[in-house]
Order: sequence, then structure tokens, then C-alpha cells
Amino acid sequence: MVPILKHSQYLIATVQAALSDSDLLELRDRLVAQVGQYRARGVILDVTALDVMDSFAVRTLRTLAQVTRLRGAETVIVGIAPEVAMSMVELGMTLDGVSTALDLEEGLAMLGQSLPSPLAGSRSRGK
Amino acid sequence: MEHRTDQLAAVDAKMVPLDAGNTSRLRELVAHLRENRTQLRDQWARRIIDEQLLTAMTKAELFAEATSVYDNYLDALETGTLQALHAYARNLSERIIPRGVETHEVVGIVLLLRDVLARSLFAKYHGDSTVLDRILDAYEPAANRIAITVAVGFVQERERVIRAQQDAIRELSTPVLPVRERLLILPIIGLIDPLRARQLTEQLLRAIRVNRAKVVVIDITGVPGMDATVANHLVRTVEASRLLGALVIVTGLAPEIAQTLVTIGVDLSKMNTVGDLREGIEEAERLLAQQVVPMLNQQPS
Amino acid sequence: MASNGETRIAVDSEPDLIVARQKGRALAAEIGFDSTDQTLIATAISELSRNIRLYAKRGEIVLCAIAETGRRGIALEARDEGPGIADVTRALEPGFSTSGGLGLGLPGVRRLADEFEVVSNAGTGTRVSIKKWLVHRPWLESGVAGSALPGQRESGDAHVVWCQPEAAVVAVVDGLGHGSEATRVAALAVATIDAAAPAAPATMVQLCHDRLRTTRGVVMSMAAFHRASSTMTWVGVGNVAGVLLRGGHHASPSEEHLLLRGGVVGAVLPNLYVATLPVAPGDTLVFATDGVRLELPSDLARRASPQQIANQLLALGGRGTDDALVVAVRFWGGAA
Repeated sequence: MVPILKHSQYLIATVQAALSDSDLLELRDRLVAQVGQYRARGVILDVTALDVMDSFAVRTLRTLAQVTRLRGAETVIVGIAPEVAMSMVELGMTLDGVSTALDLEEGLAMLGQSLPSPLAGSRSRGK
Repeated sequence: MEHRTDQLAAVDAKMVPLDAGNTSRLRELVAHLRENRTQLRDQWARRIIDEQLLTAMTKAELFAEATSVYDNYLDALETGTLQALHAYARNLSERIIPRGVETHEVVGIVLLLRDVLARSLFAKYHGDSTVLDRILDAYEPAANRIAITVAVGFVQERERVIRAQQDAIRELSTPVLPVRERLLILPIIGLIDPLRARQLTEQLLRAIRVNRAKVVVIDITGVPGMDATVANHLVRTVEASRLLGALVIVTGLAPEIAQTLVTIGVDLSKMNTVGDLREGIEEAERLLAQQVVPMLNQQPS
Repeated sequence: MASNGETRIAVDSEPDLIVARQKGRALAAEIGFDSTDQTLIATAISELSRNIRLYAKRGEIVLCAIAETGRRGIALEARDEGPGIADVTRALEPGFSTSGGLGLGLPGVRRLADEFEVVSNAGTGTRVSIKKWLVHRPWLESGVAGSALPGQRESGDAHVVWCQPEAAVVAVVDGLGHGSEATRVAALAVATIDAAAPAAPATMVQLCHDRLRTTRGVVMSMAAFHRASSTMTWVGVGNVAGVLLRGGHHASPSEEHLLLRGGVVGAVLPNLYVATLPVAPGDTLVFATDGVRLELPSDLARRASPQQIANQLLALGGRGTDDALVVAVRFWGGAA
């Protein structure tokens, strides 16, 4: 089970290599649950160890971002490797709607600059 | 630097200690070699030409260098110190390396000189085998040290040149320029084919990672013939950079070309285009100063 | 492992997906694909093996290194005996997988493949086959176009393009006179250069001069490229024209011309004037013997391939009264 760390108002999880589909789904669900449980403002998911980002992973990350946003937390994906990024764009998978940053430090910086949000559900985000 | 002195020290340490006998014999044989300088030098030069060494040099150059090498060789024999010879060897190497002279040629000519001089000594002292032995006892170690010194000098200079070239190459071959903190510039000049596009994107992404860049300005003023293929490569580079948390500004794309691309169906909506490179850098700095960049990457679906 | 070089991976359970894509990546690396292509192939395997698991419960992935004249690649097949894809056409539509629907990932897989086939029928199962070829573009891309003097069987013009990972040498040689003697002498010069490369150009010209002393001689122009430093060193004796066409837009000057010294290699060798220029990816060097009137039309498609450029210049400028040869090489450089 991938450990989830709590850092101030943020949850941080680091994916290990060779994560199975059910492990990824289970991680997603646990993150969503803990966002509610701890009223977290942000989630950082470090995918440095992911060797491949396919349509299943993209879908799972997208729903993670959508659901956490509904609960008042912003999700940032960090650590996408250059060759994974290149193959993603060649296959037409761009993680639209999901924030991305270079690494944990940048992810925290990005979250730190988010506007503080009122209660979950009433967050507005541009269009 | 330390490495160099160590190498020479190792050579020095192997040296046969100069006793009084050796010293006077060295002086004697050097005097003989000086007396016959012209003849021996010419003999040596002819052998160099016969063995097809130093073909990168003209005959005139060869004779001029041969004279210097000969004189320095004799000085080293006489004084027993190698410092001056080493410095001369480095200097000579610096001059001949750009002409394409190879290590084996330099080692070759020094060994030829050693042989030519040895033969001359044989010819002079062959009458008395005891004296000949003593003369050779003095000559051989000194001549070998000289050969090693010159070879080492040449190789070190060559390594220095190669390292300097490699540094220059690294700068040339990484077209990505870190301009200030978190800002990279990638000026692209010349034709882009799919393979080059991939290489450039890989280099850019690596540079984004290493420099932790937040904004990249890609200038395509120097790219001839923008068409849909090249434009699509560019769009993909922008998207891949975004996945690493960097925003890309594209400069040098003429508005009418952008218009044509859109008309034929290229999706430029993900690309920030700004006039020229200077304006692009200004825009990048503006974004960095406001720390707006992270916000821009949050695109709701 | 099957005996004909195939690797079969049974897809029965979740861990098999990871095994399959790791083996795929390893095989792709062995074949010589770069890390991005390895990732693309691993991604394709991930998509296909997941489909097997989700819809057919079990099946297999078959991987194979393939080769045909001049190229290498990878073939992979995903087979199952499941219920089949109801609507293959829809499954292949680009928007399908990203809409969060069934998401078979097939459009992406098709994009990365050079050859792609899916056969699926209710009752017989599904088979997706793809092939991906290793693209090899040499760092010095060349094209040659030439013709012999009408009436002659052989041309006295010859060329050599010698290319190694770090250095390359291009030379065009025009044997004096015509007929078999000119052909022989030109071939001798080419052989000398081929054996001596990558020596310094001046050295190679000198070697040719020595080798050709007893012959009529040749005129020649030669360029040595050094990949890592992005430089070209050229020299010419006689009248073989040389032009470097800059690939960059707004490059100034957009052309550089080789400075020729009069003389004949093998007879009268002048003082050689050797010049070194920086070259950028896309720059194209053209050498042409005097049987071609070298005219660069203002609309010369600089993005055309070297072979197309050579053909075009020969067609435009071939005099028809002599042997003619045009060689065009394009420098791409890049990391070795």
C-alpha cells in the first residue's frame, strides 16, 4: 500500500514503480477519503517512478483531480519523466484539467499560491 | 595540474643518478652531437619524410621545427633537467595539434632522433667498446627520459585540447540557454525533421528538469518553411513541457503563417505566441515576476 | 519462449500487465529504440494487455524482433478468445478513449504504430497486431546524381561519402580526359581517400597527389565533417564547384562558396587553401563537377531531400557535353 503523508494542509503520496491497476485505484480512493477526513487543501501525487502513463492512468488521475476539487482540494501531479511526457503527447494524452509541476517542491509552491477556498463545493475556477 | 607533475616526477624518479663520470660523458657526447648538428638534423629530417611522418607540414616547416626540437633535445641531454623540454613540448604540441598531427607521429619522430643520434655515437666510439658502453650508459637513460617527456607533453596537450573542445561542443550541442533563474531560451535554427524535433524536445525537457525552469521561450525565427508537420512538433513540445510544469512562449512565428496553420487545422490554442525573441523574454520575465505561472497551469477541464 | 525468437506473455492476472510492458520495453531497448520509443511501446502493451484482462479475462501478448532489408523493428500482437469488440470503428475513433467511456486506448496505439491491424469478431475473439520500425536517419544525409558523357559507358567523375559516428568525408573527383583511363584514375583517388579517411583534408589531398603521380591526374574537392564540433573543413583543387547552403531562415550569408585553387592532383599541386566553417543542422553541401553548370534557382526547395536537390541541379545544369556529377549532403549533427 502506498503510504500517504500529511504535511500541514497537504497530502503527499509517492507512487512506486510497477503499481498495479487496483493499487492505483485504491490509492485514489484513499486520497479522496483523506481529503475529506483531514480537510486537506491540496494533494501532491509524485509519479516519478511510473514508467508508463497510459489511458487508464490518465483517467484515474483525472478523476482524482476532479473529485478532490469537489472536496476543496487541488491535486498536483509531479515527477512525470521526460520520456513519459513525450510518449504521452505523442499518443494524444495531455492530462488536461490536471495541474502538473516538476517535483515535490514545485508542487508545494503551486499549492501554496492557490487562493484559499471557502467550503468545498462553492469553489469557482474560471471557466 | 597535479596529475601532470606526478607523471613527470615518476619519470624523474626512474632516472639513473648522474655521477661525475656520467656527467662528463654526457657533456662529451653532447659536444659531438652539437658539432655535427647540421648533418644529423638533416639526416633525421630525411628519415621523418621517408617514414611519412608529419605529412601535415610542409618541408620548410618540418626543417624549422626539426632544428628547434634538435636543439632542445641536446639542451635536455646536457643539463639533465626536463622542465624546459616539457614546456617546449607543450608549446610545440599546441602548434601542431590543430594541423592534425597524431600522437604516433610525435613519438615516432622523437624515437627516430634518438636512433639517429645513437648511430652517430656508435660511429664515433665504436673503436673502443669500453668507452662506447660508458657513453651509451650515459646516453640511453637520458634519451629515453626525453622521449617519454615529449610524448607525455604531447598527450597532455592533446587531452587539454579535446577537453576544451568537448566543453565548447557541450555548449554548442545544448542549444537550450539558461538565461536567468527559472527561464530557458531555445533558439532553433535550420531545418527540423521528425528526428531532430524529437532530439530538441528531449534536450529541452532535460534542461527544464536540470534548471527547474518555469518558463521557456522557443524562438523559431531561424526555422525555414513552417508547415503543419513542424507546427505539430512544436505543439507537442509545448504540451510535454507543461507536463513538467513549464510554460512555453513561442516567438518568431509570423502572424500570417500562424493564420495559415490554423486554417489547415493545426491547433495553436495551447501555444502562447509573442512577436520576437526580445518581446518573448520580456513577457517571460513579467510572468515570472508575478509568480503567475503556476496558476496558468491549472486548467480546469 | 518460442523457438523463432518470439516472446509470449500470458495475460491472466494483474501482475501480468506489468511483466508484459517491462518485457516489451526490454526488447525494444535491445532492438535499438530510444527511450521515448521504448516508453511508447511499453504504453501500447499496457493498453492492449489491459483490454485482454478487462474484456476477455485471459489471452496473450506476443513480442518479436523483426527485420527486413535495411531496417529493424518490433512486432507485437495481443490475442484473446474473448467476446470481441462490438464496434471496431467506434473503438478506433480518437475521442473515444478520452471521453471516459470504454477507453480501449486503441487510437493511441494506432498512432504510434507503423502498421496496425485489428481483427475482432464476436465468438472468435480479438487480435491486435502492430509493427513499429526503427527510424534511422544518418547524421549526414546524402544524395548523388550523375551521368556519363553521351557515348561513353563509364563516367570519369567519381565520388565518395565516408561516414562514421564522429566524422565524415565527402569528396567529388573528376578524372582528366574521358574514357576508361579517366574512370580508373578517379577510382584510384576515391580509393585513396576512402582508405585514409578521416585524416585531415590537406593530408588526404597530398596522399592522392602522391598516389596519382604517374597518371593524368584529377581535380577534386573535398569536405570533412566533424559531428561533435559541428564543423566542416573543405578544400578544392581544380574546378569542382562547392557550395554550402545554409538551412537557417535569414541566415547571412545564405550560401558559402568553396575557394578553389587551380591545379591538378597528381600533376601540379598548388598551395592548398583549407577553410573550416561551422555548420548547423539542415545545412546542405553541394559539390558539382564542371559537366554541370551549377545554378541555384531562387526557389530551390531547401527543405527538399539531398537526393531531390542533386536530381534537380543535374536536371537544370547538366551540360550534356561532359561527364556530370552532383553530390549533395545535409548535415544533421546532434548527439552521437
